[in-house]
Amino acid sequence: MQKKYTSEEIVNSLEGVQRAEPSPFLFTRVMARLEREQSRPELAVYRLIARPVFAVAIASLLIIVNGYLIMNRTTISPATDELSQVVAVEYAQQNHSNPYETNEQP
Amino acid sequence: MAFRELVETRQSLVFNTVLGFLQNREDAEDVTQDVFVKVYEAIQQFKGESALSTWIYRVAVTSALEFLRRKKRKKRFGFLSPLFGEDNQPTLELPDFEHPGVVLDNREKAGMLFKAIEQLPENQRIAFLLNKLEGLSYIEVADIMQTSLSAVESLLHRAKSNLKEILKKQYNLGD
Repeated sequence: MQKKYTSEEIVNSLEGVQRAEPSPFLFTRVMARLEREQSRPELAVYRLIARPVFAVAIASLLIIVNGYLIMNRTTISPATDELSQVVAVEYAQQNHSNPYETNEQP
Repeated sequence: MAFRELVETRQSLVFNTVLGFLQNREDAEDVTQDVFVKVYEAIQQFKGESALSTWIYRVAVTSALEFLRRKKRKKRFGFLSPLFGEDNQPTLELPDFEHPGVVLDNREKAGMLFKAIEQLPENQRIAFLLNKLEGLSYIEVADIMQTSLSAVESLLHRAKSNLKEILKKQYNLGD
């Protein structure tokens, strides 16, 4: 590449630039696209899912459900422990023989 | 304002902005249509906190960057397509771009500049294109980018020095 320009000249080469114009049928094409999209209901669903509000709602719901499950778990656990102790005591009181004990009397 | 009027008064603003990012006329036409579809669907969400043009610029910049990201992703995973028998287009580099609004004397230089702009970080590219290609003031650029005036000044300063570095390396310029 010939060194005929300086980097400064190249960086300033957009001075005096005019705006580029789109094709003259842009509005017609936009309207056609809008009609096409409105006739496809699945796109409306996709657009709803893609909205940040929807993502925030889903995240909040997950947090609430998680919180509820964690709270429930901590409250249920001691009760379950108590229940298992009661069962164990009752079981012991019923004179069940220990399967590991032999029936032989000394 | 009727939608037709909105499209007709803002179409060159959107097209020119998008074209600066995409450097391809067909892609820019496609994304410009997409921008107006988004504007039509989201016009109720426009709260008038900023000027309508500022909001439309934001939609245009976001859509152009989304398009480029999608294209990049497609290119990155393009190697998978032969496995599924998909007939993908070849992933060639973009040909040299000639912006139709550049004055004749500057065409060659502008072509070199657009190649270098592609390599700028996203924020610097946005600030540079809005300021140099759309001719927006620093304050307008700051409004669109939702940042401070000093941040835009710094972005533009860094963009220029990065562009010079890229150009010097790419074209072996001594200056």
